[in-house]
Amino acid sequence: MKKILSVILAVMLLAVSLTACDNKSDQPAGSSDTESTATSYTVGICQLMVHDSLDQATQGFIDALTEEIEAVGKEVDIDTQVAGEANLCPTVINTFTAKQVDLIMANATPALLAAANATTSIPVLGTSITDYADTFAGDIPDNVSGTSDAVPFAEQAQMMIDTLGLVAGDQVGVLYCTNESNSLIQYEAVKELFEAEGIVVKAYTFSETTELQTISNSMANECKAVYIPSDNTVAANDTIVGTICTEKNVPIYTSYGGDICYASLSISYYDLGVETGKMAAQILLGEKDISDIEILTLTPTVTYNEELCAQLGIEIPVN
Amino acid sequence: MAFINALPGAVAEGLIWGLMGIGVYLSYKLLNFADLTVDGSIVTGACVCAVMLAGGFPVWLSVIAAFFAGSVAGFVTGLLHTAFGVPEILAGILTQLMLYSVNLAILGGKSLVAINPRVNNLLVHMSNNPRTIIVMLIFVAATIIGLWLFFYTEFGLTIKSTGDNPNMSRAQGVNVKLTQVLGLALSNGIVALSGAMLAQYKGSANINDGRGAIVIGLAAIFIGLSVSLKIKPNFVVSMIGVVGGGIVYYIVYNFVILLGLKTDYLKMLSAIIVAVFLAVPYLKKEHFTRQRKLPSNGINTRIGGGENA
Amino acid sequence: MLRITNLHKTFNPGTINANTALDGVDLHLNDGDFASVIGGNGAGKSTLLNAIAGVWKPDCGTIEIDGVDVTQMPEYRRAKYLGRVFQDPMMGTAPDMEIAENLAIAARRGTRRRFVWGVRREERIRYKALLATLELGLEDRLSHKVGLLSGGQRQAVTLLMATLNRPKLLLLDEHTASLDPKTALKVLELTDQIVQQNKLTTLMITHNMKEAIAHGNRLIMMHGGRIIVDVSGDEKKNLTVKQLLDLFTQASNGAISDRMVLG
Repeated sequence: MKKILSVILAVMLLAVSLTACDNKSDQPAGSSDTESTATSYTVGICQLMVHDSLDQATQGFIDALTEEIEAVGKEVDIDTQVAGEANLCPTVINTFTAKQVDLIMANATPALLAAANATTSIPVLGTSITDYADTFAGDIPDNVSGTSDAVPFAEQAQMMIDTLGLVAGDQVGVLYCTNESNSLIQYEAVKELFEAEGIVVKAYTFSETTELQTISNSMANECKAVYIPSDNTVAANDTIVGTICTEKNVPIYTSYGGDICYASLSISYYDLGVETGKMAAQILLGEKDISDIEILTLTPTVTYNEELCAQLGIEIPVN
Repeated sequence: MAFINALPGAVAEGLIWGLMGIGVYLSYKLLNFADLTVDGSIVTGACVCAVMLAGGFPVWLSVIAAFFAGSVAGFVTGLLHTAFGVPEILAGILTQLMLYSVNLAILGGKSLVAINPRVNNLLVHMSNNPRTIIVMLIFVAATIIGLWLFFYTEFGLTIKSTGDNPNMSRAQGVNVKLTQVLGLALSNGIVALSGAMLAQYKGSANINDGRGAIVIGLAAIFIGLSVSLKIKPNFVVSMIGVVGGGIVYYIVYNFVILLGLKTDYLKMLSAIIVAVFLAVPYLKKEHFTRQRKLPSNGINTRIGGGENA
Repeated sequence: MLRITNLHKTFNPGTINANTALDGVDLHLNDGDFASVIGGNGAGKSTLLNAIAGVWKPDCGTIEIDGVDVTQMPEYRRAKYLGRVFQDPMMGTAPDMEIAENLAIAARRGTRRRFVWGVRREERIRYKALLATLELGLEDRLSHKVGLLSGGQRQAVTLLMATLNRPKLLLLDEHTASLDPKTALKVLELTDQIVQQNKLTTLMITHNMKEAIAHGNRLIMMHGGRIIVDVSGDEKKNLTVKQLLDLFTQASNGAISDRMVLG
C-alpha cells in the first residue's frame, strides 16, 4: 500500500514539475501594458546575509522604492529574504519566480548570479556589487543592471600617498577575507596603483574571523600603512584590527568608512540602496526599460577621523 | 498557486542535492564512516567544473574532471585514516580544511567564479527547470544503476562487507584499508559530481557553497530512508529514497519560505527536520513495540543485525 | 601443516598491565590433525589462535602454515590459508548482506577479486546444496539478510564460510560457547562432519572437557601461556574427565579453575 502510494505521489509530483507554469519565459520584461495599468507591484529582495552594509543598502532600497511608488498612488509589496549563505540564494530566487514578482533586487554577488541565471525576463537590479563586468565575464545580461559600490582606487591610493608621505620602498598591507567575492579585485586594483609608485604591497588574508588578531599583528609589525577594501567581514569585525594597528602607530585607510580609519573615500550603503530603489521605481512604472539603465556608481565622500589623525600625527589637508 | 510554480525549482534542486545524498549514503551508511570531507569536496566539484567551463572546455569533460577531483579528496581522507591512523571524523575535517585552500587556488584566489549560460552548453540550469529535472533524473538513475552493479561485483561486495563487518572481512582476505580508501574516493567523487551540477544550475561556484552540505545530505538520507525502508530495505530502493528525501527537503524549504518564514530560521528548521525524522523511529521503538504482535513468519525475530539497508 | 616455534607475546610490556599471554609455545600439527585446546581463563588459548590468524605480530617466534612462513603476513593476506569461526556468532558474518553474498565473499577468500559479477547463478545452486546439509532450513533463505538469522544459524553459516574452500587450517575459537545446548550440539556435529569429509587440519578451543575428549585426535592443554599437556591417539581416546583433571593439576602445580571443572 505504502509502495503504491509513494509511486503515485512521485508520478504526480513529476508531472506537475514538468508541466507547471515555468514562468521564467512567460514574464514579460517591463512590458508597458502590465506596468502602467497595474496598481500594485511585487518586488523580491534577496540579500546574501546579515551584514551592516548589506542591511543598509536594503533599507535604502525599500525606503526609496516605497516612496516613489506611493507618490503616484500605487502600492508595492516587498518581500525581503536574507538567504544566509550562497547556496540558499537559488532557493530564495525560485520562490520569487514562483510568485511571479515584477522585479528582483539582488544584494551581493551570489544573489545577483542566482537571479540572473534564474530569469532572462524579470528585471534584476543588483546592489553592493563591486564589478558587474568582472562578475559576468563581460557579458552582462540585458535584464540586469544596478548600482556598484566600487570606489575610485586611483584617488584612494593617491590620497594615502599624499597624506601619509609614502615613498618608494614603503610597505602597505591590504587586509581582506578570502570568502568575500569583491575583495580580490579591489586588492589587485590597488596593488597595481601603489606598485607603479614603487611602493611594496602585501596581502594579508584570512578566512575565519578568529584569524584576524594574528594576521593584524603581523600586518602592523611589517607595514607602514594599511588599506582595507570594501570587505564586509572585516567591516563587521574591525575593532580588533583598529586597536592593534593604532597601538603600533600604523594608520588604516578603509573603503567603507567606519571608526578605525584615519581617512576614507567611501560611499554610504544606504544611499546606494536609495539609488537602486529609484531605478526600480522607474522600471516598475514603465518609465525606463532595464536594458537602458546603466550601472550606477555613487560619488564617494572624503572623511577624516580627526582624533585618530591627531593621535597618529597626520596632517589633514585643508581642502 | 505560487507553491505549484515553485515545485519545478524545488524538485530540480532536490534532485541535485539528492545525488549528493547518495554520495553521503555511501560513506555514512555503507562504509559506516562519518565523512565530513563532503563539505569541501562538493565545492571542489563546483570549482573544477566552473573553472573548466570558463576555460572553454566542454561540459562533459568538466563534469568528469569534477568527479575525479572529488575522488582524490576522498582518497586523501581515506589515506589519513588508514595509513596514518587519524580517527574518522578528524580525517574528514582535516581534508576539508585542506580543501578550502585548494578550492581557493582552483578559483584563482577569487571567492566566486561565474558560469556563463549563454556561452557554455550547460547540462542543467535554473532557467529551465523541466530540462534540469529530466537530465538529473537520468544522472541519478545512471548513478544508482551503476552503483548497484558495482556493489554486486566481487570487489564491490567486499566494500559493502568492510562497512558492515570489518573483522569478518579481514578474516575473508579483504584488504580492509584498501576498500575503505576506495569507498571514500567513490563517495566523494559522487558528491563532487553533484557539486558540478549545482554550479551549472545556479550559474556560479562559490567558495562557501559547501557550508552545511553534510547536514543536507544527512537530512535527505534520514527523510528518505524513513519512508523507503518500510517499502523495501534493499540497496536500490534506499538510494531512490535518499533522492526522494532531497526532493522533500527542498519542497519543504520552498513551502516554508513562501509561507513567510524568515530565512533566518531556515537553519533551525533544517535541524528540526533532521531531528524529527531521527526521533520518530526511535520513539516508536522505545514506546510502541510491546503493543505490536509478532507476525508468524519470523521476520521480526531478529537477533542483532542491522536495521539499515 | 602447522609449525609454531618459540612463540612469545606480551601485551602492554613495561607497564602495570603487562601480560605475558604466550610464553614460548611450540606446536606441530600434522596434516589432518584435529586438536582440541583447553585451559583456564588467561591460559593463552585465544591468544594462540589470534597469533596464528595474524591479528597482531608476535614478539618473537615463527609460525609456518604448510611450509610457508606467515609470521610477518598481515591478517587479511594470511586469510587464504585459514578458515575461522569466532566465539561471537555475530562476528563471522555481515548482517546487512545476504547469505549468498556472505558465502560468495568467503568463496573468493585468497583470490584476486575482480570487477565481475560477485554471485553467479551456478554459485547459488552450489550454496543452496551446501546450506541444505546444515538441515536448518537456510537453503530456502539464500537472499535473506544474515541479520535476520539466529545466533546458531549465523554460526553455522560462518562454519560453512570457513570451510567452503578447504582451508589448510581451520581455527575454531569456542565457537559453540554462546549457543544454547541444542544448537551447540548441532554445530559440533556439523563441525565433525565437515572436518572429516574434507580432512581438515583443525584447532578447536573449548572450555568443555567432555567435548575436548570426544572430538578430534589430539588434546592440548595450555596454562600460563604455555602448552603443558599434549595427548593424542588412543591415549587421548580413552581419557576420562577425572584423569584429565589430574593431569592438569600435576602439570600446572595445583592450579585449577571452576570453569574447567564444570565442563
